[in-house]
Amino acid sequence: MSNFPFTATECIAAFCSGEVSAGEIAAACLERIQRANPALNAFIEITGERALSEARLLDAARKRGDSMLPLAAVPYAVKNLFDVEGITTLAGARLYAHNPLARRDGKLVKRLHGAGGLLAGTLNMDAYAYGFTTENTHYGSTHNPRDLSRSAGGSSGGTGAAVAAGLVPIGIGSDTNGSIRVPSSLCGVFGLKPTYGRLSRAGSLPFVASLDHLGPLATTVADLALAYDVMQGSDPHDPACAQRPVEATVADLPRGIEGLRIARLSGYFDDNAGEDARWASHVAAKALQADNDVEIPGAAQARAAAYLITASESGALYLDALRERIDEFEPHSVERLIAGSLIPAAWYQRAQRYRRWYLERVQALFKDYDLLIAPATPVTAPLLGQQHIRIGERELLTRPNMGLLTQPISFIGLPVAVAPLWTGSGLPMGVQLIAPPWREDICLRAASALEKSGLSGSKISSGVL
Amino acid sequence: MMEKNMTDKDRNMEITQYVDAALALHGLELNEAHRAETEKQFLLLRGMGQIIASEPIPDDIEPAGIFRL
Repeated sequence: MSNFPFTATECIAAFCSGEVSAGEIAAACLERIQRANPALNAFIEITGERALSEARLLDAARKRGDSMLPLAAVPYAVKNLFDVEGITTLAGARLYAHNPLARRDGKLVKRLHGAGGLLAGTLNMDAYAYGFTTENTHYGSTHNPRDLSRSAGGSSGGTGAAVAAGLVPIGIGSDTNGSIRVPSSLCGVFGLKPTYGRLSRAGSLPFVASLDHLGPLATTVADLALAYDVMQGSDPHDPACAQRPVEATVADLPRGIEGLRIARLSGYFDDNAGEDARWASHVAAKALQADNDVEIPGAAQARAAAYLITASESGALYLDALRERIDEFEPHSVERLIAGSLIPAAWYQRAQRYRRWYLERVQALFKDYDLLIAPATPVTAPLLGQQHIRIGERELLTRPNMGLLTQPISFIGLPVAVAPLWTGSGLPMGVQLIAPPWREDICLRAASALEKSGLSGSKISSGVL
Repeated sequence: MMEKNMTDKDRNMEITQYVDAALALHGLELNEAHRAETEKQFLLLRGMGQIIASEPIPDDIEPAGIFRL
């Protein structure tokens, strides 16, 4: 099994050359999941029949001599806030357990299916996507494959764990305040939060409409770019989805940092970073030849505004259910939702005004730089159940503060790739590679350069635990 | 965001009254444990509001509203 193709790129090559069938790849993937998932609790549903059925169609198509699809025979899994035909969309919440089965796939699942992907299952998460640790009272905590006593991060923790454990080479998550980037950092895999409005959210359960993004996590940068490219495209069914053409990124990866002006973010991003996080930021900056340190003005206020907007929009979304079915709510977040529903309109309005002003000021930075570097999380993976993290002399609550360094970036929708570096403790620490709006290609080129340098990688051997 | 000459005790009393009134307005009936934690979370949100208010925003900046790039 250890020699079986594992990364998406390997699966495509092995299938297209006729070395293995899609059925064999699907079966190997399902075996890995069956063996490893009980210890991880990454998967909520395993869609084995569907993966095998999709594989049969691909094998038949190859026999007929049909042209090969861009993601042919690549297993993947999705956070369980995506609609998957025949499965109840849970968003990690018991509140939705008795909802009807989804009648069709969400848009991104459709695109991955159309590109030849094999859907292996749906993945655990913080309830409603409100959290950074995937400690879920009703569906259990997800364990970090790098150390099972630790959190996989959240809210796409099941996605991070499934990719890091080598169960699937590609997972799809969502990111409102850091929910792709935090698990990528804590699990040690590559992640991409595209520009707000780039990928359609149709057929996924919303959390904070004005901040929600969807995107991939993957074993390698090539796999990440591949998944991102096939999911692009405008969609009238998501009102926030931009009318932009597909801007493919895979072919540009070899350009690396050629011609890019790069800076490291200091100030807020150093002040809220622990020792490992600052180390990662400096190491990445040196490797990417970042000449200067720069500060984003107002990052602390931006984080506060993202926090308020999140609380207000999610509180409003769940208000009716809070009135009628409060006992079914996740205990970790029920009062956060209630408190959010009480926020005065003036506070929310000010946060949205700050958002526009902050965007203008950050965009000005991009006149001088093409890429900004910052740590993705303040610390490496905390223990499950750990109530506090330490940043320098400060002790902060774990659950709301793992997104301290991601929130000021997603607040204004900038594209960010996360590349994992490896600390002396053996745990991963991700760095955020941040580009101007719509320049995901730059984020991915920089991640590719770090990967090529040998400093960054997901350290997964042949997809076997 | 709050009156300058209020004491901390006054402010907390005002928050307690606001939370109770807003809960009633929303028709949310909470047990004491939920209510106390909700007030704690609301105080945290007020703190976030104060961080934003610490920096003046130019008058001509409109809300992001439906946010688009």
